[in-house]
Amino acid sequence: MSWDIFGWFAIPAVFCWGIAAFFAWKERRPVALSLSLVGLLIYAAFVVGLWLSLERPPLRTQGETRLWYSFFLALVGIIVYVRWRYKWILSFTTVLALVFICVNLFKPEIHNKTLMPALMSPWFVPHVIVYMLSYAILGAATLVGIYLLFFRRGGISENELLQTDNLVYVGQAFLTFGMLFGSLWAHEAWGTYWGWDPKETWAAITWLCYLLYILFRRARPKADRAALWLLLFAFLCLQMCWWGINFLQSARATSIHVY
Amino acid sequence: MKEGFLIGGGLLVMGVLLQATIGPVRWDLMARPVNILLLAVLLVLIGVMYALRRKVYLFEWMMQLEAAVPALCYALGLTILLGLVAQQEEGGGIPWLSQMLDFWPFVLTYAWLMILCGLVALKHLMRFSLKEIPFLLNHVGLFMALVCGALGAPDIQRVHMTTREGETECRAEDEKGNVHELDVSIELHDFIMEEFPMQPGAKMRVPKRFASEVTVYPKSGDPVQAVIEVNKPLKVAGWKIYQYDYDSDAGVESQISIFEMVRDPWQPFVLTGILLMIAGALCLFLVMAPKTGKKEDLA
Repeated sequence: MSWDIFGWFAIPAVFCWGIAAFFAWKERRPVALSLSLVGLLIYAAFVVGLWLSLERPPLRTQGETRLWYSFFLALVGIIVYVRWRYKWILSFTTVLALVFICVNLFKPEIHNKTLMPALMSPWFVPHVIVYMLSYAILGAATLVGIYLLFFRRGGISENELLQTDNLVYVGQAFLTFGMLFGSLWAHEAWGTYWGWDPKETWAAITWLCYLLYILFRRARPKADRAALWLLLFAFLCLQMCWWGINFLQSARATSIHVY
Repeated sequence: MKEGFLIGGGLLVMGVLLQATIGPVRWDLMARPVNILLLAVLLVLIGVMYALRRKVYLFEWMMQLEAAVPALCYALGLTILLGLVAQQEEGGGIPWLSQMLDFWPFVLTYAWLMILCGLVALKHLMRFSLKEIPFLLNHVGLFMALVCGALGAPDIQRVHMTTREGETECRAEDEKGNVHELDVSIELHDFIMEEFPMQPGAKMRVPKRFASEVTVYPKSGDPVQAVIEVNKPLKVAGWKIYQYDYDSDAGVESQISIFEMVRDPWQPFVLTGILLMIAGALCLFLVMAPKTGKKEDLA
């Protein structure tokens, strides 16, 4: 099995996920769930086939990691859907998975790209994937926050704010995984858990921001607008961490995370 | 929360005064046994504060969110400053702010945050039940990772050893260039460098793998034969040995392999803290998220 036939698996899988997302909006949970799983199985078949034909886990190249992003996005979409029954989550994960699949379909030359030895670690994929996932979840929380702050007429109900709380808790959990997997990896590669590299510093800032949101919500449950502004600020810090530091003069020269 | 912001502000002022009078925080002075003493003092202090919580209002208040939220705000603010100002070696850049990790207000703010964190962890530990486990994992984990990480940093020994194929070496150089004779020696059998095939359009070949075939002889104990690679360090006699560098001019032909050797006595505690935090995050995800009445009607 090789990348040439990736489309034959990816397109039917995305098709299944798309239909599943539609049925999730229509509150047809059993249909949505089974279609999601079918899509995941089709996609997984390609991953397993590629793994066998390469005779190594497909974790080395950028294209191969994107293959996993899409797989995990779909998987976590299903888990979150089962756990919290958000009807929009499957649409969200399907679109994101599709983006990464499209990159692999239309930019196939990237498959050959090489990976520097320091990145060849079993931590690489979980570190990046849980970060991407938490960014996605916190992005959703931010969207809800913007809606409540600027487009919502009348007061914000307690229940609506609980939704953002819920997303932030899950997002923060994955943010913690990403950060700590990174530190365990750094320890395996360089012997330090934490080096205050600019990317690490901004990851810590982002983590502290969402932690502050969690504590502030518990300290002042009635101060809903202040909490939502904090949520927006936290997402700005997250953008800084994700790509903003590439433009920060102080970070450019020294960061090991610039790529 | 006003009190909290006042205390945090007071710490900033105190930190600035300390910085102006006695200079930056000297982490090197906190090497063993000072750091063990400091940790003991910190733990006793937290214990005493907890014991006196009914007598002293301040200590009771320190366990409240009213104290934690402002403390976190100050820590966040100073860390943002750390993220914005390029950090440089001593003496360079903006005075004080370019050496943020040695800046007294930064260190005091985090110390305050950790006292609050330890205190609230102790409170929940004393009324232990299964329901407290997620809370404890998060707080004890953070406390252990941060406190042991910071206090243990001066005890970390980090040296570089340059070895040649066919020779046995026991001397290594630290960051300041001092040469030390170690209690382990390394014999390099072969340095291996693999490269990717030439990419179209690329100017040079990209390295794929660096590895060293070695035998390590600890002063006491049996020799260990192993292959050390990037991301695959070797642990011998308290040292962790990492593939660090090679003779880059010689490239694939390099006869030299350079190892980074790290001995970190506090590492098990930091690692435990990190693992507790990972377990805590799992709880955050599974059980701590607030329960909502109607889950379906999200915009």
